[in-house]
Amino acid sequence: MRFVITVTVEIITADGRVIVGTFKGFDQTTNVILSSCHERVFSETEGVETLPLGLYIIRGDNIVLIGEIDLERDASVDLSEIRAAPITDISRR
Amino acid sequence: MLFYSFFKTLIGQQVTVELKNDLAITGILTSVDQFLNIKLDEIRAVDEAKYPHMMAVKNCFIRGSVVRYVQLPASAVDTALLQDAARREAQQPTTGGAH
Amino acid sequence: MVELKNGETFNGHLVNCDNWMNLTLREVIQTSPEGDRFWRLPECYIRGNTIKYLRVPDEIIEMVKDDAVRQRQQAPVSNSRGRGGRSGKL
Repeated sequence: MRFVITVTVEIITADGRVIVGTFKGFDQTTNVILSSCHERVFSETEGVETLPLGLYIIRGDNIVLIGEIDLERDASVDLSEIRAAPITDISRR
Repeated sequence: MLFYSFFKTLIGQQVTVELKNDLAITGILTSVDQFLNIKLDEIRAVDEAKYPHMMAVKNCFIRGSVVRYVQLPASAVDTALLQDAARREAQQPTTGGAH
Repeated sequence: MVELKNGETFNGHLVNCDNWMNLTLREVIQTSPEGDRFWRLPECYIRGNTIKYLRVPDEIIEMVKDDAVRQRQQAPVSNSRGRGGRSGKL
């Protein structure tokens, strides 16, 4: 049996990026494939900027957190109104 | 394996996980694996004003390697039992080995 | 495109990879972490554990699907062989 996975997830990476995309696959070491991803760039002075990225394979080492996005809740959020510092980079420790 | 077994006994409890990037998340523990990767349900950032990054996230997977602390409800932990289990594991350094 | 943990990026054609995500690329353009310096390399080898992420063309995911379908079409044969082999050993 085969079913199409269409879960939208948010990944927080070790270097503090927030990447949102459609979850396509993963393995033992938490390497993850995301399609149609975009990065959400948070800033304290401006609203959230969205950068299109495309198809990504993110290495498990670089992943902090994978969250399933509630699309309804996400749609109700006005990203341009959000001000927040970027997440701390822990990749160079 | 002790901590893996221990965390499994905590499934269903509300815990707070503090990550190495200082982000702290509260949620219901739903799953743990051998790497101490953690799954949480009904999550929220402890400091929601500082971390709106996951506002629309309802459940999440946290990589074990980035966890700094896990805060547990004291009532859910039997420390005497845990000490006992730790001693037993210390007596048998090789898993499934000696005796 | 491959980005490494140190921020360097490598743009090129993937010619080989292994189970550890070690990669060989050909016709590579290397970019410094600051994005201000560039090198052209005919070939390079990247150790898997230095990789942060890979950016791949969107079409690749469709090719993977086609590949999986093809493998499934061949699956009944290899499956029965597999079972035969295992039960033989038992």
